[in-house]
Amino acid sequence: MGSRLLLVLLACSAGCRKAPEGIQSGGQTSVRWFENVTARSGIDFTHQVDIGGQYLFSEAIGSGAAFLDFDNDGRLDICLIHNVGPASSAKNRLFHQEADGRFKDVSAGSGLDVTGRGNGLAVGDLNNDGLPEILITEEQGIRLFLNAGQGRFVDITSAAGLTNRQWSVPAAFVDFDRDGWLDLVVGNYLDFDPSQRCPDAKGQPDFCGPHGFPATLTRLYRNAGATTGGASGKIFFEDVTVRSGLARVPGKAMEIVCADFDGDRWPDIFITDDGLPNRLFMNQHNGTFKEEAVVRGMAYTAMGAPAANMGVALGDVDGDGLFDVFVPHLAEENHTLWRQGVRGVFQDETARAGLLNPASHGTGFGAVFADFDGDGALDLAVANGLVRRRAGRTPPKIAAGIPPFWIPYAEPAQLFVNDGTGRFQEVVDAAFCGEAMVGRGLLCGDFDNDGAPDLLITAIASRAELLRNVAGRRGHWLGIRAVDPALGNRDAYGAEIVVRGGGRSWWRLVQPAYSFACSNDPRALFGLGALASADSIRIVWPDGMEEEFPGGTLDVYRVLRKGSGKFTQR
Amino acid sequence: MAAFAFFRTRWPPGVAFGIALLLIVGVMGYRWTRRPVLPRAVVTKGLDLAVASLIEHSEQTVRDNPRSGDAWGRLGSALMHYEFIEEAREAFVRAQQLSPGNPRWPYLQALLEMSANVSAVTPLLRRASNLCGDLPDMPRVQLARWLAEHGDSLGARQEFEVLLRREANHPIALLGLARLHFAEGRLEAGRVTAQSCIDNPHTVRAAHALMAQIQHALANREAAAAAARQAALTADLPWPDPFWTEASAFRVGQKAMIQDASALLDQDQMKEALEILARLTRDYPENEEGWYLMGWAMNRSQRASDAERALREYLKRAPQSPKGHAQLAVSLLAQQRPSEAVAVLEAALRIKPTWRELHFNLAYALAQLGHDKEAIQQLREAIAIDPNHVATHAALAELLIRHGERIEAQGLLQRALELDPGDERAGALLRSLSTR
Repeated sequence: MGSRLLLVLLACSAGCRKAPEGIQSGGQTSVRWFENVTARSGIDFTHQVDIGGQYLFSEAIGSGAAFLDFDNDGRLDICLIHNVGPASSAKNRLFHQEADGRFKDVSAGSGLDVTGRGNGLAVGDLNNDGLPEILITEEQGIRLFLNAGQGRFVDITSAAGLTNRQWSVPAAFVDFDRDGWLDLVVGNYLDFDPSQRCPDAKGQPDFCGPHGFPATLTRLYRNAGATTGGASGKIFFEDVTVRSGLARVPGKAMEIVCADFDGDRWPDIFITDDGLPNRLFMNQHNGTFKEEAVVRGMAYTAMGAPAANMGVALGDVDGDGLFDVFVPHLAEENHTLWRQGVRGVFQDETARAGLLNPASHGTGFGAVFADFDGDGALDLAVANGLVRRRAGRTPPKIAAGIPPFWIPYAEPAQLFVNDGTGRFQEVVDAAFCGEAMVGRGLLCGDFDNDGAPDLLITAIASRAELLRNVAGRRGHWLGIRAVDPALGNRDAYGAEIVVRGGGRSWWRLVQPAYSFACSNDPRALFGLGALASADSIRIVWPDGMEEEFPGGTLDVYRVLRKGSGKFTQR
Repeated sequence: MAAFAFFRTRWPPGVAFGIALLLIVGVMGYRWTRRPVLPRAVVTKGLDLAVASLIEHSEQTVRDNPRSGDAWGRLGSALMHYEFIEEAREAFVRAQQLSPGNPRWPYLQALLEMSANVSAVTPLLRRASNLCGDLPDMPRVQLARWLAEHGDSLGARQEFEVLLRREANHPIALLGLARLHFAEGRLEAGRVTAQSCIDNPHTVRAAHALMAQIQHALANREAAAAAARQAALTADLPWPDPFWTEASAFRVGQKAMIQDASALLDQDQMKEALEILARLTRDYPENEEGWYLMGWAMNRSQRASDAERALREYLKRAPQSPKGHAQLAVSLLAQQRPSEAVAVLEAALRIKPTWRELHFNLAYALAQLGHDKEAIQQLREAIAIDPNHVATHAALAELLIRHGERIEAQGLLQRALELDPGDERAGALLRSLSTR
């Protein structure tokens, strides 16, 4: 009898920790939203980083990734970059998605197969020829690659007038002057001194933090396409950093999101800054910007303190038609959710959203709002990885293949489900959160076009993991690609799309630059829950014009072309 | 008499043995539970010798006085600075068991748990603030802030009100209440409350930042912008925290010395900083940062040859350091050795071409040698890197004026004054241009 009881107890101690799917266990619910398909997808990329033993800051920043359809075949391709010096043999990679859904390495000869200390990627069609260009941010500047078609890219950085020599991390394309040509914002991080040493509390060498290094300027480059002829001419940018007013407030940029923060239909620029107040440059409609993060409530957390602001997730978490902003911070800080209550005014409502005390605090980088379970509400995913070793933490289960040097920095990613009112609860998905890595980039896109957002996570010195969304479908969806035929049918970066139906509305922004150092799927993907059909689709185009399209059937991708709907008065 | 019957009874030998055994076990058990608990041994190998010595001394003090709450608390205070989280927690817990009336130990453990175990923080802060009563009030300040941050507005409000009952103008409590008013949409109450602590040095920045938001929400755009500008220009003094100050005495070793010296240098307390740096470079001659800070401080103290000596020591240890080269060049320029400064700065720029300071100083050195053309080029580089540096605009304008480029100079000076309307050099140069 006693031995039988003992056996039952032993069996339970081994197996009772893992709760079945959807069952709450220790304050967290297990879900099965993702399946790791890396091995069978053909993505075979292990991030390389030079480790010189000197704990150079740039080694700890990691590298982002990009989803892009570089050949316009309707399937998302993937670009992945390394963080290595010129002596390395590791080259950046471009993977083309074939008709069977597998990815084929087409790097060789593409022109993107170069070596570099890469941090971030931005993607956009700069000459309105329908083919997206790629920009890579690096420790010593930026590199712009023209998409020459046929899978070939040409480095045109100098010819395009791009002269940034600072350590850049995020970048975003945005048509800030509404002239129809995508301009470029490059977020420079800080002026790093490689001779600076930053030992930990026990005196052991470790990576530096941002403090003590000078802040730098975020650069704004205006696309001169309107004057140089664009598609028929060459791509050329003019540095308007000073003239635009961006030079007035330096910072330590970690991520950039361009969106209309005050409802005037002009794109503004939000920049997260590491260890400093965030910056929010409001578009003044005349080529200049005014920094207003403090007055609009986004500079500091609720306690009035600046934080280590990393990536950005942007989305309407409570369905009020106004987007909200989530920024992850260090493990020893709290992440922040700024909710937009009145248009253009934000308040830290992290506690109310249930995001303050998750089971574990990670150092978050990439962050994504997407409706992973298709219930009509935006959920939240965060890629974690420490920047300095941390004492007193429970050692997590480490992903295979991480070099021993990086193991003390590894943390599991986190997933939060939205209950539909903007309140979140942490859930555990074995494929996404099960193993710790030094997570940095978190890429979101529907690579298999099934209407469910998938993820790709990049981590320092680790394999990039492609996670296919396999959440049980609980509702309908609609995917929209908004393009402007007058601009070479390029994606309408900056367009806001609202789907209406069943007395509700869902808001999305067409802008691939968010998360951390990534360029995401530019299409707008709506999880619509139980909605049977959409009543209407409204698009506010980047030039401020508003157009209404009929709703219609769901569970499809639609291409909405500017001018094919019905223009409405503002 | 009946009570003694138990002892008079003749018990079988087995029962007597059992009773005796039980008694022995009981006595041993009692002694075991009363035995002094000793601290967990901390591995000090590889630590800074001063840190290792401090920890070992603190441990020994506990071993010598295992029932002293203060000894345990001091051990926890030492360990918490060096990220021995578990060990520090155990020490603080033991300190609280032995000295339940001492507010230090729950307070310091709460600070430890803020980044380790957040669920433990509130009860610890509550205990510490109850034990403190009115003073020191930092535990209650921390408790109120913690509750506010974690969404317990009601609890936070109660604690802020306790602070205000004791001190009606308590700036942290006023700021906390103002934040709660604002968060709850009571804009006018928030504005009035924030205004009441806006000039206090402990809350000046945070209150201006909050005021900027409130004024913006009230559609007072100019007032909002003014408050935001003020927030960017100021910094809040930390609220007095005597328990933390006591615990900070347990920060020792080279890292602590560098932090202390840096803090003093930031406050322009050169003499005190140099005393620490002299000790640091004596006790830890291989610590490169100590030599750099000493060189920097000597430059600031206009002791250029001493600065040069310290910086050359630094560069022996960190030959690729741009900041070391930059400071060395400053000391050389101060000694009227511009040619050597040019060589040093050019070497630094090969390492770090994006440092405005290097270009600026190189321009200065080149101008001293009469190489104006090269100096102008360096200043243009400096402006391209940092278009906000007023002195660079003024310096370039001065050189351009010297070479007759008055129109460009005028533009630069206007830009300099746009950046800082009070810049005297730019103002004087612009006036001189307009009077010619």
